[in-house]
Amino acid sequence: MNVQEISDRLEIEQLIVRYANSIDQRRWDGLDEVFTPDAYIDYRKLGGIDGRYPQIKAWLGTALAHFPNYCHMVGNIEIHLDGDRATGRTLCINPMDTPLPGGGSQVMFLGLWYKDKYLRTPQGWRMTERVEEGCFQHNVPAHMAIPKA
Amino acid sequence: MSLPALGDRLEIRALIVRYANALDARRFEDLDQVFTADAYVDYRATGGIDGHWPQVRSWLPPAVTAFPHMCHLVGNIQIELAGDQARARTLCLNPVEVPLPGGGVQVMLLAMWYRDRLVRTAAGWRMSERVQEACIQHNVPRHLQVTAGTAH
Repeated sequence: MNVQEISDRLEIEQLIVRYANSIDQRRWDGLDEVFTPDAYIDYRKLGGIDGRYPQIKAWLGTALAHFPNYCHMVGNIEIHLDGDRATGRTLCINPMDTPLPGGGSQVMFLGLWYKDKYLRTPQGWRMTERVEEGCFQHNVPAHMAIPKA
Repeated sequence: MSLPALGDRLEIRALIVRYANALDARRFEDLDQVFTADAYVDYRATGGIDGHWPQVRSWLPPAVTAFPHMCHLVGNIQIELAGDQARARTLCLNPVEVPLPGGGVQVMLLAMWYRDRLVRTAAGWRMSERVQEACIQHNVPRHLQVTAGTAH
């Protein structure tokens, strides 16, 4: 592996982490430096929407406001480089603190993969596509309607 | 990314992992190679103390010995380099086995972030500050819920 390839891999890993940190800190503008303006995003496997980045960005704040605490731990990052393009697969373990209708909250655990496409731009690597693939759902409160993976 | 920057990033990642391994293996003396002598450490978000390293160093062993098994899985390490200094944010998934007052044990799962400041020293990168930020508390035994920090 030469220095350029090592650098590309670390930059793409940092991009994937920057996505998780922007979402977890609810810094939606931070996602402008993760996705290309016309990126395609598909959250349907976990009950979300699909569409282009501007539409997704507007939707995210409202959709996640329901959850007081959550995090997206990413790992198992597999990257395939192809010049100025790349594809990746990432596992995410996602605990979500979910308010209960009768008061209190319950932590549910979701497991999912992200299937990504990346592009090298003058500003650095960006995601052009992110598609969720469902894995497990544990301890989901009865009132939550998440389609089964 | 230049070769020195790649080297710095990998060294800082290794430091963050060394912290987790030292704590999980209860090799507290190894933490002296993780923190600077006067580092500021703040564990208050999960019910611990804050203070400078010598004080936290003597608080840790009895605090951690209460738990027979635990691990700190770190990930999502985001690093911003600025010459001989750096900042990092790390997510930690932390299952802790807790003895129950009536006998038996219960595993609680905590999730938190570490917000770190790092400095390059003659001996390599070291943490000069580590502040916990709370996220998730799951399956915390009732007798511990008073002391566990409140997630924001």
